[in-house]
Amino acid sequence: MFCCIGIYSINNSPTDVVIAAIFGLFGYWLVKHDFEPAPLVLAFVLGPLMEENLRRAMLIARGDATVFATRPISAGLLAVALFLLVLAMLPMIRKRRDEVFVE
Amino acid sequence: MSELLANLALGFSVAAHPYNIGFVCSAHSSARWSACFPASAPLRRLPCCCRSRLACRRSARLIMLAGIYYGAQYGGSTTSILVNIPGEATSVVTCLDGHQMARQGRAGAALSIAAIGSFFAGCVSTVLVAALGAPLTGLALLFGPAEYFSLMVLGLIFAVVLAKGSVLKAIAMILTGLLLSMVGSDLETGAGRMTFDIAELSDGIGFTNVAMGLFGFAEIIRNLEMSQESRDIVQSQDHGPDADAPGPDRFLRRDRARHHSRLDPGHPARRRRGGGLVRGLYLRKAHLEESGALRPRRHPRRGGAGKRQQCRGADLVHSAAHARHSAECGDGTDGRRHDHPRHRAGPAGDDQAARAVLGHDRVDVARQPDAGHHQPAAGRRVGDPAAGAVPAALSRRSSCSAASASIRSTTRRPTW
Repeated sequence: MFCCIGIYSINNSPTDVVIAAIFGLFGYWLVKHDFEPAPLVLAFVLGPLMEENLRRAMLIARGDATVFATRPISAGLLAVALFLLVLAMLPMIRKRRDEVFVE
Repeated sequence: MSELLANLALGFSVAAHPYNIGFVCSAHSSARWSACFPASAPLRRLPCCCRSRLACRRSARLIMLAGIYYGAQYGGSTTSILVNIPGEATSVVTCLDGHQMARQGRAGAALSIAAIGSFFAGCVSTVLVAALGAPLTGLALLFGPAEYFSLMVLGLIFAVVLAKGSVLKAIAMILTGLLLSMVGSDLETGAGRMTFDIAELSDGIGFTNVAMGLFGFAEIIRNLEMSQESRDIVQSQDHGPDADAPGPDRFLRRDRARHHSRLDPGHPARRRRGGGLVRGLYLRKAHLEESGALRPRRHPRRGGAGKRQQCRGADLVHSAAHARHSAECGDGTDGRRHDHPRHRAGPAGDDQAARAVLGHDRVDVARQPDAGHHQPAAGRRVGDPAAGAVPAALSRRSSCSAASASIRSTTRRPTW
């Protein structure tokens, strides 16, 4: 109940409470299906910032997407991201390969 | 350097004045209390606490404002630790670790870690920013939009890597989150995106609504679904799997385990200061918004720590030592419970009280007599808010005598 009061008090809008309730059901569904809501919230927070910076970078580079790879810091960060992703995927791929071998 | 020290000394001499300290204490505590209401953002809490501010001196006003701000900012950790409901964006992370600790009966420890961690990190990063701010600003200037974008991509990938469960599901969650964040008006053209002509959606979906729904409401629904038995807060303390196994060196082991757990939470504090420093640089660059860009770097790491906590919880469940512990507690001769009452009653009691205050958990007063009579069933719950007057030792003993029941509740896995 305090949640509802809090949500309502931010914008004085009942719609917010309804939206939160919908997300509550959605979150419950996620929990039931072993999804994690944390990455979703993270992406939700970062989404607008990412979009803004992407657009700004694109404007500055005049639509040239290679700017992310040519600027050293940016390229380094992306490389680390890629590396981590591969690292995370590795056990999955390996497991699948094991399954193939078992068969 | 001498200039820096002189400036710092001047600042501290003003801040350490008893008059100012009194103001900061009162402001901080009032802000913390107001922060216990989830979903009220820190800035909204400010005016609630500001009324009395006008009567005092100028420096005191500033100091009081800082006290209110910090109280409101860090007060959000209280609800996120105790009832798993983040009050604002910054305390989402606290939920990951903190609530798991609270479930293991260590809410007090979690609260103090959150407070001490933020205090320590705040001090260190303030000093670092004061000392190194000017030279490091040049470094911050190297960060253009492209770098910010890459940094955020990295942050999201971190979230994927450190999320438990399948990578695919985590990626799906990230994409869903990005999609949801696109709802609202376009940044440059102002055209509505995915608003379905609903006026309320044209402003986008509020972060608070999403977080509240996903964490708070979902948690409530899940709690409603569970039976009374499994809903109980775990009473056993997390001293490590073997900490309570009988044996001549039991006390030694326990102390070692506690020492370890005390050392362990130091990491978040130490980690935080790096983030704080960089964030300070951002602020210095007057890119207030971009300070959010650093969040991913903190989130996933602490998320990782949350996983560690969960793993430890699972260990606890599966270890035979725990079963032995229950047998030992059965005859009520366990020394631990009597030696360290402080550790026992505090967290669980706090937790229950907070839950009741926030209306998330039904208070079961009928159980209270159980707790008084050492019935085995009394292990379910210690420290019902209504039973606050029950001698802590009594309920503690009884919880101990029904450790088997609490083990069953230990098996409840954290959900995320």
